Amino acid sequence: MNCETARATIVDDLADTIDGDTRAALDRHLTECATCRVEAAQLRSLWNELGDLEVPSPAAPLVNGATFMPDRGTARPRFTMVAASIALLVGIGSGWFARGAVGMPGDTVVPPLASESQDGRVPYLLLLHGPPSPPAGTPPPAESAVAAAVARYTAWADTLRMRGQLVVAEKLETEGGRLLGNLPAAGPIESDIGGFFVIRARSYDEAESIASGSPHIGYGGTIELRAIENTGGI
Amino acid sequence: MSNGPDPDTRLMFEVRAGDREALARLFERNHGRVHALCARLTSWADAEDLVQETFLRVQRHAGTFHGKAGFTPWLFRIARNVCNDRGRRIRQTSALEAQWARDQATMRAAGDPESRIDRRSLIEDALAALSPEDREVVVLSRMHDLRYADIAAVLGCSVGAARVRLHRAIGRLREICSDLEGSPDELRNRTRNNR
Repeated sequence: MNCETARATIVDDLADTIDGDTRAALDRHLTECATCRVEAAQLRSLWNELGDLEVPSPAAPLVNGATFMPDRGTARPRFTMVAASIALLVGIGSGWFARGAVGMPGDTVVPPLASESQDGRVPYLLLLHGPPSPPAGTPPPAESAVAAAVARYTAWADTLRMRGQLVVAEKLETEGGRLLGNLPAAGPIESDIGGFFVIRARSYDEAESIASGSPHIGYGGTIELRAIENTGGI
Repeated sequence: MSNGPDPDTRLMFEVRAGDREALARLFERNHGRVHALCARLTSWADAEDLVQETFLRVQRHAGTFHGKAGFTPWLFRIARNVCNDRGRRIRQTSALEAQWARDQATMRAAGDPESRIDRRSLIEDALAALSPEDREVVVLSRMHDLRYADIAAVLGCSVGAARVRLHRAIGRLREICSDLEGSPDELRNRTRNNR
């Protein structure tokens, strides 16, 4: 067995079954070839790490309340709880914030952002600071690193939405920010705030627990967590 | 000794015969892993909706089930088609999200090497960065323990093609892991050399 065949056989052994003769040939090759032994160890390690990843599962209330209603020709089958949850998700994700922000005469009255929800949760602001800007001339990151970062932030926002914890998430423009008013250094600013999330939680501890799940800290950033005060709608 | 069809296959034959309770039991037994598959192929937010669409199609197309390859590959093939039909397999990210992530990745690459993310996050990143075609074969093989023959049945290809696709996907996954592990060091070394 040569090295190329051995490496393919290692994957076959992980993903399927190999017969006794093939295994014996692989074992002989690995005894003789240190490079392929390292290869085998790395592949097994990666395989085990893939197996350790979290299994995406429905949110607990959905699992407990999920029932399948078979199609009777006209009605759309659904999870009873899922339908309500999706409506909530869509409302939070695309409509609630816009309606609350505009406030034109004749609009539907919506609760102020700072109001307590029926389940006792209040809003918290997550200001995403940093990480420090890279030195001038730093080469851009690999495409795969960018794609991975996109996936991680999106997956985290997805998870918060599914749990009904996300109110809004936005990135701030990098350029053009200004300081106005009586500050000593009014004018253009160099802020390290890259974006913000507004979430709902029952306490600072719960909000901190939610925020600590953000990929932002892992990327070297800092999160400033502040409760949004309910001032009664000033 | 033959053990006969597995419980899900038996239930599916009952569904094909018009038994609605069998469909409910099939749902109870399988909706979790269908959710896991859809979430990996699309996103967690979409998965709930796609699970119900999958079981709707299971009911509608029950007459096409013959049990030759077993229930799981048939079910997963439907789930995969649902994901494809919705056009959500390639995660749609807004320009803002992409720009934001690009900024973060640039900053991270140049930042403190001690702040690198842990290994599990790195594997998650690498899996997410695979192409949808590569990711699905890795997910089916590793996350759902499907053998080559079952993967072939899900993907609608030969067993040999399924094997080649997995080998290729694992190779790409390793390359991406190396990229993610190596880029901060390489950048740090370049920065040092440029001083």
